[in-house]
Amino acid sequence: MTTIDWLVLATTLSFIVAYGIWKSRDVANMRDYLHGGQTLRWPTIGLSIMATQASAITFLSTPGQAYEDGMRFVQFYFGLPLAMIVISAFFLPIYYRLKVYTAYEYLEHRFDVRVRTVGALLFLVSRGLAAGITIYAPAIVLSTILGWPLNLTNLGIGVAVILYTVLGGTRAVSQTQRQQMIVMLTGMTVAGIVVVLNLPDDVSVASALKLAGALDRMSAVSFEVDPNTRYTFWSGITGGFFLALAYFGTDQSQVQRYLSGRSLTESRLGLLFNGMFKVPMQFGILLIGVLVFVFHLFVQPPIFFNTSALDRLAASEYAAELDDLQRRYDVAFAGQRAAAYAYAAASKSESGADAPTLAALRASAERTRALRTEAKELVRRGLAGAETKDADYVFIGFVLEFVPRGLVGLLVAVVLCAAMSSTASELSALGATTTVDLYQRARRKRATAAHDLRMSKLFTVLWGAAAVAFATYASLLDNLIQAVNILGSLFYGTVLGLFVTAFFLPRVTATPVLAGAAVAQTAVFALFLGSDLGFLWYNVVACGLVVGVAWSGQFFSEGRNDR
Amino acid sequence: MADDLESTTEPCDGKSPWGSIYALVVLELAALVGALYALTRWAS
Repeated sequence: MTTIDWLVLATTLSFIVAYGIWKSRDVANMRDYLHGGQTLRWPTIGLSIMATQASAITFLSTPGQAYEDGMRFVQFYFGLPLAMIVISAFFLPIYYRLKVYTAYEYLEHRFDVRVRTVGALLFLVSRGLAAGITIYAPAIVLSTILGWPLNLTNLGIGVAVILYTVLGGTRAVSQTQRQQMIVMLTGMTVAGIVVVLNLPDDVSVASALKLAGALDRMSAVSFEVDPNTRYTFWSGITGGFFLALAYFGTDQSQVQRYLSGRSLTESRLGLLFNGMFKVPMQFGILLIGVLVFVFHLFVQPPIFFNTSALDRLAASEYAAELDDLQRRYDVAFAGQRAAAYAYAAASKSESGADAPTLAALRASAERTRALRTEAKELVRRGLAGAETKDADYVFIGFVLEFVPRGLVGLLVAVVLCAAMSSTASELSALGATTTVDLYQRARRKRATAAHDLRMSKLFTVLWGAAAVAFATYASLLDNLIQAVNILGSLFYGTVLGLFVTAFFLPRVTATPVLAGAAVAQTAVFALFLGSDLGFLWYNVVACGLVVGVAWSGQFFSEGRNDR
Repeated sequence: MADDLESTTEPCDGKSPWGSIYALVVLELAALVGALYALTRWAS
């Protein structure tokens, strides 16, 4: 990064943090700290909800996922708008009526303290682990590519977030998220424009999309019915719906966002804003990944995108093997580039590209892909413990190599803003849940409001420290965005089942629903360890099991009592 | 203030506008899925 990039990065981040602290300087009590005094309007709520979900992983992993696997991931979000409607219509009015601080308070109103505690603990475990990944994901990529010290990067992100989250509470989180979301959207628009401008002169956007389609990167919608295929229309509209319902309806890091609205109407509009803009935003990010893929059909990418690992391999005993592989890759890439130009030219004609041109393109792409696989194998053999998946390095590699000076700083700011925005919501929610659902509930004597506020801040700091510690000892997972979603799906279905039973089965009492939660959580772990079922279905299975077991348990216990 | 805001979205005839707003969100989703499907077919 150049001096101007550092300047852009430092100015953007420090302005956002200072603005957040200044806008929330009058936090006086728990209501201000946890609900932001309930003053926010729908645009801030909507952007805050989007910023909470859009972590750095979204901007690092999603374009990389599109590069490797195409557009099909967009289907994951198809159920989200429907979930926003259900939350607006059913969940939100109840949360408002009961004036709860956390979603889990409702479970005690409806069942008893045991169910509330189970809900809160499931949230704390899953979100506590996810907070570590949220910090670690950008830190590992930025430290590898830019040479920043990993632990210092973890610490830097963690300390900045803890600072404004603790000083300003949820209002500071929302206010900074609004600015962060603006930076993120601007940055990604700039990235999209840069990649289009970098395409060869005789390759239009339409030709680029045709090329991507020819190499199976444009399958945005598939109606295939196969539960083992991870992303289809059906898994998105059902599994994605349940996951979104669980995440937005019961995860405190999101519930806290929209409960800070100044009215029910504002909160509803904020949720629906997210429902309307999420799919287009994800489509845009995936499209950038697909365009980077097409760009790299013409401009040779590294054989392995984690170039730092390649450098280490080149300095090892495997250098000769790597050199040979690189030579074969250069030749294969030249063939692929020629085939891509031929296909782009042919696709402009009225009849389109013929079958031999398409076959030549696919065969040449397969050759380069096979060589990339060989390179990954070499990395695995040559660098003990090194991660062989390089998808998370695709986008940042493109930014550093091909984006003009100054804009690199903006795009690194996008990644850091995203990391900070989602971490801030997580820490704020973890602190709130620990204080309200565990600490206050377990304490026998009433404490002063000032004491509760101090404890809430203390728990936020402790969760922040835990997240930084977890990030320091985590290792790069298969694919970061999938890791976070899989982690969420292991617990969300059960939590959602508790809430669905609470909302829609008024006769069911606490004990059957707890039995249902135990069965569902055991079943999800068994599926995760022993089946190939796509993770999106875990939410459906777990929610269904909680509701089914709770209803059956209630039915049979009532039958026994009647006798 | 909150009550004022609520009243701005509740018409005088007492009919809630939320059904229409939810329908709009569903329609937008249907249009997006349709457009993405058309894009998939066109590019393949």
